[in-house]
Amino acid sequence: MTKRVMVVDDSMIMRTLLKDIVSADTDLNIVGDASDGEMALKKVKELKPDLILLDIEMPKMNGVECLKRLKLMSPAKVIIISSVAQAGSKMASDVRSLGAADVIPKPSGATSLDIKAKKGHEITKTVRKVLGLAS
Amino acid sequence: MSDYIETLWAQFVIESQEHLELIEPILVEAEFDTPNKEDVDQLFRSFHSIKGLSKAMDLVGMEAIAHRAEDILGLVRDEIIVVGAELADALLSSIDALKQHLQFAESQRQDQAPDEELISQLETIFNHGKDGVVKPSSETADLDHSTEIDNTPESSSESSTSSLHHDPDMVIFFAELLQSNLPKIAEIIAPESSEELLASQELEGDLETLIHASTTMEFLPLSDAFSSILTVLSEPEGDNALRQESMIEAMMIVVDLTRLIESQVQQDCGLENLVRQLRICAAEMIDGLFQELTAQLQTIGVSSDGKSLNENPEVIDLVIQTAEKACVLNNRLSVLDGNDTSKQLLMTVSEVCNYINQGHAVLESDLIKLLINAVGGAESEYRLDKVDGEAQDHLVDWNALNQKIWGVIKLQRTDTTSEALDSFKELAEKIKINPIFEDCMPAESIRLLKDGINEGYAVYEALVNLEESETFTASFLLWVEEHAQLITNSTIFVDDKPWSNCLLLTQKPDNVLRASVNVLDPERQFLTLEVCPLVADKSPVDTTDTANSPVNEPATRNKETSTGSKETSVLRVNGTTLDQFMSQIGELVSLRGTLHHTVHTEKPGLAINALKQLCSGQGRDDFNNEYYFEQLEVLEQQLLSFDQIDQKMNTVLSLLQDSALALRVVPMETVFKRLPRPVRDLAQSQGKKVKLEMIGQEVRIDKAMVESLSDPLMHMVRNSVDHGIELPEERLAVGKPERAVVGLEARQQGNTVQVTITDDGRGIGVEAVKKKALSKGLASEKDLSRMSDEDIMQFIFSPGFSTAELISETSGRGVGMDVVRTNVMKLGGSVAVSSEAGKGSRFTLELPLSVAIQDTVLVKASGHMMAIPERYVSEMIEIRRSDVQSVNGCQAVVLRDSFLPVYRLGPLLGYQSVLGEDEELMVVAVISDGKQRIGVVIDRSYQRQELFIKDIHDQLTALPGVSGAAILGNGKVVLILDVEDLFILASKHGKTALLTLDIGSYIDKEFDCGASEPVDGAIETELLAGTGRVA
Repeated sequence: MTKRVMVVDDSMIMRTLLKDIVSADTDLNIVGDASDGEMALKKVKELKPDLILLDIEMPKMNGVECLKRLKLMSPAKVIIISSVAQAGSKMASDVRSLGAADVIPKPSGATSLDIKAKKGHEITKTVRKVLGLAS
Repeated sequence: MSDYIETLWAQFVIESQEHLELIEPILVEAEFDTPNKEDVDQLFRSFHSIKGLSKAMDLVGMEAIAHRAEDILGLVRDEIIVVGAELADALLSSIDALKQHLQFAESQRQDQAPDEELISQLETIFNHGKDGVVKPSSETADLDHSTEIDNTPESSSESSTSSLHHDPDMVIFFAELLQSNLPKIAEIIAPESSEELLASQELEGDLETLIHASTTMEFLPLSDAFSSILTVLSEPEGDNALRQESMIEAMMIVVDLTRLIESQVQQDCGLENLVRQLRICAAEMIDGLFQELTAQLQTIGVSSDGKSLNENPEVIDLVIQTAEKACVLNNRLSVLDGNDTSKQLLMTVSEVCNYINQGHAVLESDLIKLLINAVGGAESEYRLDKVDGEAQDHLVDWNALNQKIWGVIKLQRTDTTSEALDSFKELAEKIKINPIFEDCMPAESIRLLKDGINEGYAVYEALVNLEESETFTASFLLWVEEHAQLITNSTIFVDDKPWSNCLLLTQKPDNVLRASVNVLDPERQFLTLEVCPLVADKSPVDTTDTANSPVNEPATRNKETSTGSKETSVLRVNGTTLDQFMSQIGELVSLRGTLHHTVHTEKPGLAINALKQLCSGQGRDDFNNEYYFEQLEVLEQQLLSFDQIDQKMNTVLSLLQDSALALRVVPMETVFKRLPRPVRDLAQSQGKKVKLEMIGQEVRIDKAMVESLSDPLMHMVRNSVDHGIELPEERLAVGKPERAVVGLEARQQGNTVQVTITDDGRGIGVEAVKKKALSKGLASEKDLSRMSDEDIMQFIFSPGFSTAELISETSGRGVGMDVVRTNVMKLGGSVAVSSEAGKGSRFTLELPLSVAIQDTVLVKASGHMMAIPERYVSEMIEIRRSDVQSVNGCQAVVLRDSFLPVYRLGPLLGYQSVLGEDEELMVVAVISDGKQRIGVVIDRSYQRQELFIKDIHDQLTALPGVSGAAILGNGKVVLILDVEDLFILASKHGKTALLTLDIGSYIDKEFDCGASEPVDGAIETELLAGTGRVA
């Protein structure tokens, strides 16, 4: 059975790109998205995702606040994808301690087409690892 | 693939623009000296997003700027640096630079190197801010800690998750979660809600969420409790009493722990109410179980009637068990402090006792003891004097106890809850009332309602969404205060959003109420109001109305609003597409005109009649008259139905035209939002303090007006800041507040939009205007002495008017107030000024709602219909040929002491003149734009007419004297004249239109349209044919 993945990011481009990357993996199925934390909390109930890709800087409710609540509301694994959570940063450790399964710095320095090539593999790999799928 | 890239680019540009537009006003806002947290967050987020977006698009230059700005705002957010004017300036420059980069990137798909000066400025601010900080020791410690954590992510995540319930934030979130999920559950498991305790999928989801949350929080008993509720709900089989029992067990734990959590949460989060609700729910459940037990006991009693209980040990066991349970439950109930329901419990127990007492004189002592325990426990709730052990040690005087109990029962009968329930039923017999209110209606509310109804007040049910818009919520509360009395309210969920269902009592008449609702919520987004009709006058329609609409209506409507989130509610339409759409509608109107004409021409009718006469009159034998006659009738019918179709089409078309018009409007905000920035910059450069207040951003204007209105408004607002506003010290000296206010207000009045620009500056001196007007020769001393101050003020709009007193060095931007007036007039509007020296000035613009609709005067010249915009036509006069004099090679008549040059309109536009024009009496339209004035001779004038102006082919707009075309009601095309062009034509080609000359076939080569160019559309064709200017 395919795993259900939800994307939460305030940027339409990022959502588009992330969905594109994730849905390329046949074991993963994008079940929905949200553009801010509040919406994510509302949607998570019906979407019942297995995994959530969560941005941090978002309007209304940011990713950290959202993560805290998500951990209560849903058994879904959460991977933080954000440029404010670079490896070794305080933010990265904060979100981990709040229960994020993994942290991926946002794809950067790449043209839109290269993202799949450069970061796509890492994202897919991390998602699979977190979901316990064979790599 | 390239489509994909294109989409990304488009999204990139739109998103970036949105961010920039969002944050610029925040920075421009003068009070940004003390920014609030949301603003800073928004700024940070936007710069952050732009950084990310440009990075993704490989726009390193843009990214660099946004990145620096974000860094700075990070410091602001951490309250390390404070925002001042300098910082705001730097950020605004960043926005400017980003805009410029964005524009370049959009058109060239290329990156640009960022402005080094800007980058270094931003970096200086950042470094300065960062170094200037004396880092608090705690923060250093924090950072150390964080690195430590980061080194061992696995263990740290473990340890901190385990301490989740010590985190006050998390407890609050958990409380919120309970708050949102528990009431629904409590509602469903409440005994009266349904006999079958079946879980809906949604409920199961809620419970699963709660289980998950309590496990995460390590509130393990709570998660067990939720699990067992879920088990009971999802397994419908099994003993009902047992199921209820385990449900009650679980609820007890839930109540206890919720109460515990409530005491932990420091802030008020409404959990108190929840605890109360849960208690009531649990108490009701216990009560229900009690009743069931009673029934069991009764059955036992009946079956063992007359028999000794000793002969039926299993019965005794059962009774004992039941009573034990009752005892336990009762103890629980006393824990619940559920006063009201424990009275009911007492009644139940007493009934049991009573029955047993009557049926069996002698009871097993165990049983008695248990019952005594039960009754005693319950009774202790009521009796203030303590119940000591004696009742338990001795045999009970059942009769005495019964009396006591019945006393309590009587007390209970007068209890408010049951009275309230009764009264609610009574109430429901009087008016149609949503049963949802039954649970939230205390006795006094019912009394209020009853009294109100008796007084002839009306009861309304209002379904409002108070969670979406703060402004609406605030105004709704005011509205209620003003219009009605709020009796009670309950919450229902529509599409997962909480809507408040309010019961209102009001003496306002229905129409007043509805009118105020229209003002409150014109889009009907947040509020529906339904009257609760008196039962006596119920009609079938009413009943269904009140029963269904309040719930269903918002449900459907809400789907629109909820799916219509920010991204989808606005449909972006290319301007050209819209224009094409409009012009195609115009074509349709024109075609319909032709159809109308074809249908209504007399010819077919006449032909049919003639044929009919032929058939009936002649009576020739060789021809079947009857048959032909019938055929003719068919034709006649056909004609009639054509007529009907034509009429219907007319209606539909005018509706279509109206909605198309509505597509063209945009909020005033589009114009207004361009103003704050220049005002701020100008004020800053002149050392003035100015606050720009804008009202009426939501007023809608024609899209086509936005561009033309922008410049005049900009000019006037700048003028106010530049000339009107004094320096802060000057202002303080005359007792004005240091910060000046420039106000911009847009208001819709009927068919016009009024825009006023006010300032509280020094005002415009009438004397200064007079002096200038004299020196410029705009008026004589004598003229001025006769004019009112207000009229004198209008000289400001005269061409070439500028006074040293009024115009400072910063003006001279090439746009004077005369240009403002010209522009505004072109839009079909007017402008006026009033001012009081020392107090400030006020400019008022009156604009039509749409430039697409113009008031015109229809005239005929050289046999062609044309329309002159009404605002330019100052009067219609008749002149005699003998009145005409030659002046400087022109011909003119004297009109009220001044010469009025007169031309023939037809030839002026290049039409051939028509014979018979040279009559003794001639009709002249006097045309004026406030600067120049000419008279044009026309064949005749018709009525005023509002015309819907259509864009015409580009080549045709180049025709001099024509600004556009419109379609008359009869489908005929009429040209709309461009008056400014007419003045030019008159000065250039005036001789061709002299009264005495007949130039005949005058053709101006300059405006010759190539016939080889194919021209589509009815209007163009007709236009070309009409002008006769095509070779």
